[in-house]
Amino acid sequence: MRLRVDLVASVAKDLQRQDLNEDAYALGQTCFALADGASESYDSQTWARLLTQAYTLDQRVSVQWVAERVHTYLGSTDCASLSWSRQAAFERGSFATLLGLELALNGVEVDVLAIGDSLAVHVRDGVMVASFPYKVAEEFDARPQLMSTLSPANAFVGAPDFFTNKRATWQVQTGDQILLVTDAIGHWILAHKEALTDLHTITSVAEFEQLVVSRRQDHSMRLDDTTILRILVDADDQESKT
Amino acid sequence: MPYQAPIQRTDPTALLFLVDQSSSMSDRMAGSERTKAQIVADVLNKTLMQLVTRCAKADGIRDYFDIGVIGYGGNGARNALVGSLSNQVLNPISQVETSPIRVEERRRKVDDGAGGIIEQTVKFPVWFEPQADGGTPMCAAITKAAEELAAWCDSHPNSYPPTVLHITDGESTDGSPELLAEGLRQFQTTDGNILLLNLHVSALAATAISFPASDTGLPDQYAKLLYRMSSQLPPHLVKVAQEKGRTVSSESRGYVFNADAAEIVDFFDIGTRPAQLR
Repeated sequence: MRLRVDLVASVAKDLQRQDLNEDAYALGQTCFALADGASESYDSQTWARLLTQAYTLDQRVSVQWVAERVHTYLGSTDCASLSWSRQAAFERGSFATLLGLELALNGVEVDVLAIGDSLAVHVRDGVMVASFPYKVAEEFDARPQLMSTLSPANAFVGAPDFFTNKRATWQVQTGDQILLVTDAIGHWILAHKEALTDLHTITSVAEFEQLVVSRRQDHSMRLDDTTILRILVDADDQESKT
Repeated sequence: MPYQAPIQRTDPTALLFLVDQSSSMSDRMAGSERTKAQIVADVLNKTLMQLVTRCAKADGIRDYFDIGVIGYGGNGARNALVGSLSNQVLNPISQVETSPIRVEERRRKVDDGAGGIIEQTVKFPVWFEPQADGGTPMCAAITKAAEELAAWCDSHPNSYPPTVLHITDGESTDGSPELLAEGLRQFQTTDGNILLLNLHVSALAATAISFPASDTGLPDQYAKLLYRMSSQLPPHLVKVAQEKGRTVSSESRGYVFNADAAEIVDFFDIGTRPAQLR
């Protein structure tokens, strides 16, 4: 099996300011990553980009992996040159979720890594088979654990139960869809039965933007940067031939 | 459901501090060498710094808050901020950021990550100076707050409603403030009524009573009056208080009696955490 990205779309909370969108994603050959930068952060846009790009290059997330990303982030700013307010904000840190999807070596499973409240959804024949890390919309009300540019806040990555709590493995088959989404749309999917049907009919970025805007207007979707990666499970070329 | 409007630059919220500057604020705080006025000023300055920091991004300051400070004492009730912030009571936080009276350098001890302690210099902006003289014209202060916030609500109909954080150590000397407080709490946006949170600062080394759900246990009529003047905490502030280890319920009111320095810090922190910034 192979994974193919079918739709990538991101709608900023402020439609006029896409440049302020703090969601980030990166697409690899067999792995994909999505990150949602927290609003109350100095530069969560940069942090989210760093995390997603790094994930597509190396999926073995560990204490060392995070430490290297933090080192890169800290090295990008000359803290001493900042004003008092930016210096204080920089020291307060930047935070982001990290949601990674990787096709397992056996070709029939995918591994999901979920830190924070970005959501992966496994869909078969239009029906939700599984979602991770949350199963019900109410779970979005909790304060999520995020990747931080403050190293002590990432200690949970080294905990013995890190992979038990943060990783799921799903069996996939040809025709399945996997959605990687940030929290506003993740909450909407889990809270509204019609959401998957609505998303299934979307064929373009413009249609996705229209959907998000209308759901914001009827208050069924929270106002936030909103990003989706829709990934299809295809038979690989060799399978197709046999 | 009220108190859920996202706070964004197009729909900011307002935070207005009412600070008692009467002569009794020059008394020492319980368990401290410093006066109540000095400690309140320090916590207020730190709170303003933290609010600015929450809005500071790599690309600039986002105006999530309009901020004001009304002081009341011997000179009546007036805007307690100076310089360009004295022209109007409520100022966008980006203007607050650029207009401290001075930026002090203070030393702090921090963990060096290797089991030791090192001293660091940190910048500490000062907007508000301690002051303590005259009576306690609380009615004048609440009236001024109501005037400011009525206009603000009219011009920000979709915003998370304003929060008023009132800090006092004594009884009003210009009449009963109860009806005025009730009137202030009536002003509203489409997201709810103005929140009035009251903090009683103490010079006594006695146990504080935080966010009570009834006036049972409050020691005197004055404490009960401030309790009645206080808004019920909305659910998200109940949650913030619980996360700080407080025993609070959905019936709790935004009132702290007999607060010491640590209670003042927590009161400011809890009171300045409206719904999520977007």
